[in-house]
Amino acid sequence: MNFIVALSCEAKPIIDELRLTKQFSPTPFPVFRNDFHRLVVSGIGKVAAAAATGFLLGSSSRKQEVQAYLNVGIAGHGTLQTNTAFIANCISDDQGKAFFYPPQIIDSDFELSRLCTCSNPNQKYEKGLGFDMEAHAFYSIASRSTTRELIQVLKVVSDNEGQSFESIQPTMVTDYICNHLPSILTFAQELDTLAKEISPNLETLDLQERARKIHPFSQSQIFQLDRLISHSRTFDLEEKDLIELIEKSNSPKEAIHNLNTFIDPARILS
Amino acid sequence: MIKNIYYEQKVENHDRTQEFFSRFPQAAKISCNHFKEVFNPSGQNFRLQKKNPSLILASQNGKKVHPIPAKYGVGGISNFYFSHLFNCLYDCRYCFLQGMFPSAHYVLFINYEEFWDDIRSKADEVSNSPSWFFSGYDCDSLALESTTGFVDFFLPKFSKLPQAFLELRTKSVNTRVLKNREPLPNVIVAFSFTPEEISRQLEHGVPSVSARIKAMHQLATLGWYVGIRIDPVIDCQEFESRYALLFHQLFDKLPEDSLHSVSLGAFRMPHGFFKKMDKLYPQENLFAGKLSKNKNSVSYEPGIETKRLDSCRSMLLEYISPEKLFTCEMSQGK
Repeated sequence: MNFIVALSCEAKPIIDELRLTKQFSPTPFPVFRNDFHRLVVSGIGKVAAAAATGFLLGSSSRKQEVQAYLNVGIAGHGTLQTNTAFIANCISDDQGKAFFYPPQIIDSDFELSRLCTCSNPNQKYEKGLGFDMEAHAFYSIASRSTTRELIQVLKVVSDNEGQSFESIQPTMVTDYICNHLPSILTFAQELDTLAKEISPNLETLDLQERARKIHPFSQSQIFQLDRLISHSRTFDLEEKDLIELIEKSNSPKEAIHNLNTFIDPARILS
Repeated sequence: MIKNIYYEQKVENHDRTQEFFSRFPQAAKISCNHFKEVFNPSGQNFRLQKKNPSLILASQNGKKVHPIPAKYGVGGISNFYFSHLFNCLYDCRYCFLQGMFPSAHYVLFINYEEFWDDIRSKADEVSNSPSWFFSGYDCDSLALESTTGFVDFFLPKFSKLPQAFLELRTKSVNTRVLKNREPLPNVIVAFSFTPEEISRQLEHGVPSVSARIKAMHQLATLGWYVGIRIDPVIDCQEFESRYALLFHQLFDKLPEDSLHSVSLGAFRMPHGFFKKMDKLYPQENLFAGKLSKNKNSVSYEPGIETKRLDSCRSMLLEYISPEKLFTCEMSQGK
């Protein structure tokens, strides 16, 4: 799970709860991580959010796994009370025409709301609309490399008609996030579960990798080999039998032929 | 339970939209300019969305009635299909919708009246012969009836246009809307089947084969014409005995004169659709079967396809006359 958060005071409760540690190698943004989570503090605004999201996407060490991205932070809102958490189900930009509609797969208790990302702090609170300064840019970049269901924006209302954004203090921001932390982390975990469901099977990838090294397969043969191994896993054929078969073959061509012959009887629905 | 309703701004004040809003008061309502803004973007995952699809209310402003692929009909000369709804309540692994649509959200086109105008125009154009209208190409005709009211709207219309035939294709047992009215001689309720063992593996969320057979028999008894769609035919272990049992169950108690037609179609898919489906479900046994690519299409290896179709054909002809049997050579399995 990857968190993109604009401010340190928004990030603090997540860092503390997940026991993330700061990455000390030089990076353009502060990055905190443990074995399963990464959090980047982007700074305020569209450019910062886009750059930080791009940085996270590019620096992933688990490129084969599908990953989820969650933008967490505070927002103004034209209708919702302060301290209300909501998921953005339509994200617009105050200076552009493109809208994003993050597909909502997870049943959560969060409110759902439209959200407009502004270039400057917003003081006109339109009814039914939330305001932030990062979400659209975050979504725009993240949706280029991850499926949209796994990219979500979760905000806690910090200001509205009754409470101006100028009165917000960092400690209040931390409290707002803290108040919803269990639900935020549950939501993040559910996103992770969805991501795992569509991630490639790592054991299959490993087996394909090992098989490729046995013979000098051409590119098209590698494509066939990978496919055959993937099918063999589908039919629960024994890994050692596959490797043994490839090793006993005298050439890449023969290996593919032998694999085909081995798998063929299984290719029928039970 | 619908949790999100997207709607095109232009249909916001339509009676049907307002009816949906009041029927799902808890759902978040999100306006959009055009349904394609929500439905079409790249980078969506059909498999994940299928867990919790949203509803999109839209108006179909383009062409509403289309000619069907050649050799697909069930006896008519002028054959058309129309889609008031994109996507299906069920999750059949062989269904081409997974490969065709970028999203699993339901898109409901609520301008039924305009669909009807186009259907009537097409029927008038070919008034010298019966015209056929197929409604279950991009959805199940009955499964979401309690939400859409589609059949409830169209049946009275078709009752006044006897030269036009309507096929409702379904795997649903939600047939109350039909049971509550007099049968129409120009409406065929066509049920799709695979053997129970295949259905359990591939037809997720679909009523059991026995429940569908029961629903079909009930409608037939009430006087509705029914159709049987063995499409797609799926290769499997014990193929002959499983299909023989299915056919026996289907025809055993079915009044012969209520059977309009039986159609048969092999599992066949445009290559692009297949690639997408295979990627969505890399562990799916069906997609790792003995399939081959021929031109732009993926289907069972020719020998298997011919053998299985021939086998089904000869078994079916033990129960029905050849005039009632149609082979859909271009079928795509839905």
